[in-house]
Amino acid sequence: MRYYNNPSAMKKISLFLIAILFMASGLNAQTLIKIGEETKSITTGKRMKSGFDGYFNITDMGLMIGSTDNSRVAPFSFITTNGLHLTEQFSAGLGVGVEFPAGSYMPIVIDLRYYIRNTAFSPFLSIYGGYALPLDDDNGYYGGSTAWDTDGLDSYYEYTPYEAQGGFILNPGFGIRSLVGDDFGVIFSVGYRFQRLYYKADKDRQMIADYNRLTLKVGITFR
Amino acid sequence: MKKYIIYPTILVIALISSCEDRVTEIFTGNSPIYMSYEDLRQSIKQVEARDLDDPGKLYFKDNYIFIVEEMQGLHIIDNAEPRNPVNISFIEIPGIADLAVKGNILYTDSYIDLVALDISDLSNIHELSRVENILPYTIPRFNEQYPVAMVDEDKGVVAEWEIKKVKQKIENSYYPVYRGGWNVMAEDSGGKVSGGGGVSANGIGVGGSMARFGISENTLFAIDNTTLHIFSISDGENPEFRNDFSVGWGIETLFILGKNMFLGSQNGMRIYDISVPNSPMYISDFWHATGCDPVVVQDDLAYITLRGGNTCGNEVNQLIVVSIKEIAEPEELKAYPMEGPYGLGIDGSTLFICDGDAGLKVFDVTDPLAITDHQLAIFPDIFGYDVIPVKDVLLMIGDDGLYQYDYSDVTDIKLLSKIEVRN
Repeated sequence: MRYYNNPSAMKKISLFLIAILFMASGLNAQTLIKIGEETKSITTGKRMKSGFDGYFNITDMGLMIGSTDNSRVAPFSFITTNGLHLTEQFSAGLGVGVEFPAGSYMPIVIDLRYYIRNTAFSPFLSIYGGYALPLDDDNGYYGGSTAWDTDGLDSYYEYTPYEAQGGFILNPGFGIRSLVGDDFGVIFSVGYRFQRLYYKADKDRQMIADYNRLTLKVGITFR
Repeated sequence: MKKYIIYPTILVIALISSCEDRVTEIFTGNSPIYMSYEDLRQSIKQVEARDLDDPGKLYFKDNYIFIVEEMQGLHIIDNAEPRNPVNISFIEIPGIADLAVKGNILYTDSYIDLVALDISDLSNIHELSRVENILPYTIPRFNEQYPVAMVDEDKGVVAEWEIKKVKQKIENSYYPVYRGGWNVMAEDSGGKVSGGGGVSANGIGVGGSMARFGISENTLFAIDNTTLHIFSISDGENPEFRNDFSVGWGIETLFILGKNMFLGSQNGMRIYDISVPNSPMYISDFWHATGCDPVVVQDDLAYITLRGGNTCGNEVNQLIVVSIKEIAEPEELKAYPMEGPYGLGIDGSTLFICDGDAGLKVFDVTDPLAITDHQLAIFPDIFGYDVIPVKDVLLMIGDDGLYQYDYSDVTDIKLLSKIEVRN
């Protein structure tokens, strides 16, 4: 796991997470308009608005789980999304975060969600997609080609110093949002992640990594 | 509520089943052109003589010289008159790297198969039998300027490469052995050379010091870099696989003397007792610096050349003389600096060394502690890979052809003839 041993990458990730925390706490302090039908929270019993409206933030983290044959079975994902409820049940937001599918990446995604019920407890359907920017300076990767000694008998893996170029993300899913107060709730979600990452090496050599993963995430939401 | 559990569960199971990553590489590289196994086993045939192009191993028997054309076939040279050798025929043997001859049966490799050929009539050489799928999967040389695409062994053997755009899925798999350069299979050192015309039904031929095939009585040994493959040739026409025997790592050459087998590896010489040929018994090791190292043995002295650089390890270039008087405890007597030695050969007290760019060197080794003080001749313009000294005639294969020298007078070694490599 190269990125764990890469001080430069770790520094970048730390700065990035600090920036996210600042952004999230600043937005939480904003005064927002509350509209919508009041209802009773099934988790707390407290009377509260049905769902969110206007501004919201969802910050979730979890794992992108794949087959045990994969080089990284369950890399970590963290995304914080800020957005607006366009209707009582439909929201759109912009998310940024950090993920480690193979090296360190910063995903920038557009997040669309449809809440099946306009209540404090509601299943939802979601889809987010966007682009993952590489955070590591060097995303070396063992290429699949084999090299042979020029006058020997031995073959060995050829280490190809690929440079990460980033790539696309598409993540449909579903989940449950449960509000535990007027401004706060928790979210559990399951999704399917397709991610295509591009790498370049010298000459015309390139590598494309397609990740098919099951995402399991837990997060918080507030407005 | 129930539907919120059942439907997602079904979806999750479906997702997990398709959660395999897929990593694809795209590059311009060496792409394999396959020959099917079926075609491979129908491919051996005798054709008109052709010029040497990429000569490899050298073998001598009964006034005939056999020269391997790397991965292509075998040249047959009538050497009844060393001053006037005649290139008489060529046998197409895809995947050939080495050979050994006992009587009038020639054993060779054809990619993953061991093949027995009848050479009693040199105008009608034909396949007698083969042991299929018994040797390591091998690939031909490739253009080193480009990466190499994955090989699918199920499609057959790699007959050649073409440079093209390659798109391949990356996966871990077993990789084949590269049969490159000169470090490949070969011969025996029995040295029983009979005279007369044609290949006789008796005796074992003579190979060079880079050999990876060897014959001892009724057993044929073939090594790859880790394994000794053992075949019974009691019924010469039908060699039978007997055993695979692990002999360590980085094994490069094989030399048999009496009941002992000497394996040259990248970091030493390993000695086995082959009294029970199907089950060699380890005797001892002699360790040296990492390098490419053919070995020849005469009486109680082993001569090892070490070549460094490139893939051979250290930059050590030496001739090492090792006493094997106590075969369980080989002892270095002396090491002499060399330029970049390849093969070597010994006949009596005369040692021949192909010393890379320094040329062919000839030494009197009567005093093993003062070999370089007794250099008999040097041919600086000759870049040789391997030599076979036999009956006062030195056969030497170099990058530009087959040379033959008369060394009956070691103080006046004379060039007898040369067969040029096609330019």
